[in-house]
Amino acid sequence: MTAGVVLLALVLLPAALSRFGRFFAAEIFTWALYAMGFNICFGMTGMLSFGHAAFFASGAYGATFAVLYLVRDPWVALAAAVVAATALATLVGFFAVRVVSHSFVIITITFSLVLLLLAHSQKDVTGGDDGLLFPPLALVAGAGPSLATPLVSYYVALAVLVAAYALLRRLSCSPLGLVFQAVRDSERRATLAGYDVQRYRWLAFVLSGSVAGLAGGVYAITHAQVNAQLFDVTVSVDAVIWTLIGGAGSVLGPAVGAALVLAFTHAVSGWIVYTQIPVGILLILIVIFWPRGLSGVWRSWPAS
Amino acid sequence: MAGELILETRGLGRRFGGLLAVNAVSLALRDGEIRALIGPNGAGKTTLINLLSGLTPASAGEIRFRGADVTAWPAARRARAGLARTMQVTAICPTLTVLENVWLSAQRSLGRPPALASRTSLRGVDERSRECLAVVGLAARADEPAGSIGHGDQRLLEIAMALALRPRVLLLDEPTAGMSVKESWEIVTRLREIRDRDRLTVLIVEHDMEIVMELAERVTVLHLGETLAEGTPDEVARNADVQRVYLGGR
Repeated sequence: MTAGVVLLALVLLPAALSRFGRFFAAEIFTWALYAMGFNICFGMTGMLSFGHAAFFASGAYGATFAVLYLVRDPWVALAAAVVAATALATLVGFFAVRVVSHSFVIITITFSLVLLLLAHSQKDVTGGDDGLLFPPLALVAGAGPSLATPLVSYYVALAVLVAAYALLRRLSCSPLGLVFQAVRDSERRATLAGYDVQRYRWLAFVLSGSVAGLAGGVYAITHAQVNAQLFDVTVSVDAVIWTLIGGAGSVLGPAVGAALVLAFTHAVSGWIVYTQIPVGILLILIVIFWPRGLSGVWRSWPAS
Repeated sequence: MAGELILETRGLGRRFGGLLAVNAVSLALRDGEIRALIGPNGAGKTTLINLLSGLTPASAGEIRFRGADVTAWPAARRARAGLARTMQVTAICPTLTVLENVWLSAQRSLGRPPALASRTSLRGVDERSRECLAVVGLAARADEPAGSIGHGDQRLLEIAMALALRPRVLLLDEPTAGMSVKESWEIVTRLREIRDRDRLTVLIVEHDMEIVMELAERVTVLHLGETLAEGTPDEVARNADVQRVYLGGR
């Protein structure tokens, strides 16, 4: 019921938004999707990755390459984004899930740094900081309205976000989601219940990377450009910050965190140059006073 | 009443650096028996349970379970095959509810690898989980977070989780540790009921000799990693070696 009202509000929202507002909302949906994907790994399975930029960026590049070399269709591009990010996450995960806690953080950072350097060094392929551009796509295989229109971008980003949300909701209360959460709570218990923990950690990592890559694909088709900076560690750190602020304990928490931080940063950017400072202060306060994040605060409010 | 050999070790050993924690232990459990494993601190009881359940790899010897050589099997595979255990230090998932903890085992025991099916569609899992909670007397606490229930209840929860796997052999590492006398005897009563109903084989590490004498059909005594004696509770209690090292006789 509530979900239906929120969805209806989001469908009607563009009527109240300027051109920039629509574009900015699409941007928020994209990063919210990325944060939700990150949280499969972090909040659900308990693996703190500092390398998810690599999956977002590889998704963005996968989509771009599909557009440039395959077919100018945004949906094919999104599929290519998922394939690229999934392949990369499968490879990185193969090594990363063999270790836990600090080592896991280090191995994910290392992989993403290597990819960042690689992306910068292979300027012929990636375009480096200048990136790659392509003419804006039409909605369906060369026909329909252009994705350069903020309104179209808005609905495409929203549709992908809603579909992914439904899937993640399903995952979080499925038997597989239960195993992920058990691995997070107690590896030993999961093992004794008959689960090969490493295999499930790998699966969670790959799913997480796939969704992050899908978000990268949305970024690429709505911006009609990508660049090597998407591989930057700050992109990985953003996912961590948004999730901690929004709350790692629910599917929607990270999305809420992403939306709040992006909107806040935009609102204060007119009069504060270093917007990271107020965001950092906010993060510290939340970690101290609401360790379960803002969505944890909501859920602890009595329902009756 | 005990049946065929179900769990057997031959020359089983585990070395930690210079320490032989378990040395050439040959153990044979028969289907349906309740066996107590006793011995002074440091005798190697927990290490032996760890070897049997696969949490610690063996450095010598072999383990056979239902006729198969499982020595090289990882712990998760042994659990799936019907070799369940509880931990001496409770291992539960604290943020999940009591019922979800049992679900985790129950959904595995149904054989189907869990995927995206909604939890409610797996009715058999739900029934099985609630049944196992009822067996240990935790049915009323099903929806509480497992981390918030008392220590004694968490130990019972672990037993319920082990039972939900539909095991053939249950390895219990000091299930009554930290419990009151009354709670301990309740567990003992329940364990025997479960064994009679499901024809379960139980290997239990237990310090309380009264419980051992009452519950176990046979007793194995470990000392310094080796088998010191084995027999019925009475035989073991009368054994001169056992009295010397363990029971405080002279």
